[in-house]
Amino acid sequence: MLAIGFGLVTASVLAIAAVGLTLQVGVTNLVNFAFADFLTLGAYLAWSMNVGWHLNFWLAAALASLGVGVVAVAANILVIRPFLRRRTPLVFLLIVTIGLSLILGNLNLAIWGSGYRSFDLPNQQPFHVGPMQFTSDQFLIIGISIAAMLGIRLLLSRTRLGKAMRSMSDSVELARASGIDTDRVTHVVWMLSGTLAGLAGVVLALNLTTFDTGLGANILFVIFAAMILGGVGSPSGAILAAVVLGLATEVSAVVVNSAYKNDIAFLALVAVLLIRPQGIVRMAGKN
Amino acid sequence: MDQLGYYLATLVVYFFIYNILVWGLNMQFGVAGILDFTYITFFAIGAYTAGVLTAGPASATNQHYILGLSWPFLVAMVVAALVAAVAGLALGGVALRRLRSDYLAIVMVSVGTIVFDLIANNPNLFNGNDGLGGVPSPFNDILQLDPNTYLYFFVAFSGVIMVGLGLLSHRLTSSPLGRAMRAMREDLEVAEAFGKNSVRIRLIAMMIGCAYAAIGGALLIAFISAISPSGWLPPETFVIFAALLIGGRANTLGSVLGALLIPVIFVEATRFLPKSPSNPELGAALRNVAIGALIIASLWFRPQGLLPERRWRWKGPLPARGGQGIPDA
Amino acid sequence: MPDNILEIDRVTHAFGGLKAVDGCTFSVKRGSITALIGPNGAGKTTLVNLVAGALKCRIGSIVFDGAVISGRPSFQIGQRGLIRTFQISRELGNLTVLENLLVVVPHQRGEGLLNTIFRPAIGRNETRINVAKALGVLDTFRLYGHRDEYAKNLSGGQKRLLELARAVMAEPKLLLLDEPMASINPALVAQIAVRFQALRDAGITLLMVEHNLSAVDEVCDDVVVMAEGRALARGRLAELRLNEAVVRAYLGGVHANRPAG
Repeated sequence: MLAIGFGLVTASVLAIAAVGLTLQVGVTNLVNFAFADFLTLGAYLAWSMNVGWHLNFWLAAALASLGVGVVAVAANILVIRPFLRRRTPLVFLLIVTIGLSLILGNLNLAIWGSGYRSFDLPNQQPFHVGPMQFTSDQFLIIGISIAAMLGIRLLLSRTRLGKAMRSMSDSVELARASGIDTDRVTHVVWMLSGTLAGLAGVVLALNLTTFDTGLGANILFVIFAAMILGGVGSPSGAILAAVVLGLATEVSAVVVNSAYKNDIAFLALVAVLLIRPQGIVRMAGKN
Repeated sequence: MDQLGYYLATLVVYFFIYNILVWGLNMQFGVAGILDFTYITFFAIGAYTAGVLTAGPASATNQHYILGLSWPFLVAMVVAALVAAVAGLALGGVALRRLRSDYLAIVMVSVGTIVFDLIANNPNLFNGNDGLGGVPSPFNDILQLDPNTYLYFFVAFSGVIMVGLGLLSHRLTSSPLGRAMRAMREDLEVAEAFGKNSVRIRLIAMMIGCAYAAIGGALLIAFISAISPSGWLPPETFVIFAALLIGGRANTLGSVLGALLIPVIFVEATRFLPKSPSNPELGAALRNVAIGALIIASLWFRPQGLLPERRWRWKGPLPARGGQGIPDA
Repeated sequence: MPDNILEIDRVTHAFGGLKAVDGCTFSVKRGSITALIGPNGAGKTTLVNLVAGALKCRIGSIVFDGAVISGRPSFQIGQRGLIRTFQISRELGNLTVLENLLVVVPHQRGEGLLNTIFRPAIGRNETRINVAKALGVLDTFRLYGHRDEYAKNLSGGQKRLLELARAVMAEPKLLLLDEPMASINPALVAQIAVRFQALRDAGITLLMVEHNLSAVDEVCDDVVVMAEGRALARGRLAELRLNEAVVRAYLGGVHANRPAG
């Protein structure tokens, strides 16, 4: 039962990250292997602001998330877009994102070093909701996640930007032909996806209480799993998949050695990709 | 032999092993276009298989591992190559049928991470995170050489294997089979439309690459007598990718150049930079930043690599031209 | 040998809710040059993809040379001698022009792994024979001088010629051509037409999707009109021009030299 509580928190973290990734991959059609490093960077930026500059944790979290968003846009403009303009084949674009991941992840390690970190927060008293047990921060994580998801939903369904993102997700050519400024929308998507990744990194680090530079890498494939299970480009699918995976990994940890927690997600991912490559929740257009 | 000689000879062995590793990845990616982001896993399979086959029983040491059959090295090496090839066949047989490159890459890395976790967390298999050690040196039970002389012997021994594998790689690449693989790489749908069984041909490329990786792993564990999970983390695959991309894809000598430049010269040279006491990882981290930057720079400025793929020409006699008298289009 | 080399029976294929091919039925006579014409959106290219196996045919059946090929993977269909070209040239860019032809020769023993490792002479001998044949084909299609160039460096028109040369080299029984005349210099079109007739005389059946109706008129024995996913009418072009249903399908009349589109 405790595990279900943990599962919900993990699902919340996963949902933020998975939605960020699925939006970015849906619009740009490029699987970004540097995404993990956005998470890690978010956590470390927040740490430096929180512990180094003594900023309030939540303020640091917000600033760090936005910071990562900026880094993501910069990465697109400086590195990825030039290759896209050259019509570089997909396999080499993927390798470029790997190169980006090597750079960002190791810069992180170079700047902050390999030790474990923790945020500077007041101590938490756990409280109970039914049979489940949370700290108030964990509760906040769930709350933030829900708020972020609602925000994204509103963005996609009510705003022109959201509509533009959805039509680019279906077909970039058609979107461009109907007058959408695809370059601008792309920048916004990277900013949004980077911000969500940074936020996910911060709350993940918060949930783990101590973290090191492997933060993002350890969870990247669970995020991929959520994105693919939910159908690429579908935020609601990603959220659903995140809940399923979050619960599954935590509940399975009761039964199996917890070192294998993430491996359960990987196996689910591999199974889904092989049986049904377009994901479980069908998404029109993208495959 | 002096310190410098010893050091250089060791570097030469590493160079030979990396040649083999880059050739294997070249077969998979350079020639056949398969994005194998978990290449290092097959290296590990080779190292561990050779290790547990050539080592003595675990009970005699304070490690835990399976088998321990004290087999001769060459037999163990061949078996290791076969095991890795079968693993590649299993993974490729399932994944290569359907998945486009990005999803394939995700599956590959996922499987690699699972294998890594399994080995690291199951100490009974290959002694887990402590690593597998005490692997005997090939042929030394017969030769009984002192460490210095043995090193020279190992240089020659691994050199012979390397040259053989290089010649094989060249033969494969410039053969009709190699041409079919390159056709797959260029346009899979077109190759299939002309009757090429893409699954069969790409599986062959996959398996050969895995075998090469395994032989490299077997040689390494034989050389340093041990291997541990920290020696084959996922980023290692990308050091080999960097070597392949910078040296030149689908070019046997290009792989050699890449192996020399990246894993040997670049990595070794940067090992000598002073270590910062507050951040001991700094050197390694900056090195990996540089590798990432080198990969991107190489793809931008010289995507074909330093030694590009050689243009195939027919070297034999040309038949007399039919003489249609029409000038070319 | 059955009289019809290709039999398409009630083939249907939908993309989402839209039926691109809807109960299409017709046959192609062995040794003929048959044209498949029709307005845009008639489903011609989809049908070509279904016949060639690029799309999986789930409804209806396709029989080639007496064997059912619907549902089979495209490489098996190619191995049986049904060779197709693409509407937009798909050359193997980083292979030379000569290599583009060498690689498509079917049933090469030199492509076997064991042969390659232990008996490379087999591959070398096959290559020698194939090179001789390829050079002849290249000559025919006026690409001989470009044989060692990378295919990606050819001009658009040369790539179209390579597309045809490659298809011929693959020893086809049936050549399925998707707009073979598109982007080819008008002066060459007549010569290509002569090549097609030479292929037919050598026993190869041709089925071509074409918009260039004057070329169709010159070369083709038989014309099938497709509209809205099915075969509408069949016959010689002159008769079809008088066929009301055909005229209606083209929305206002068939013109002698209707440009592509």
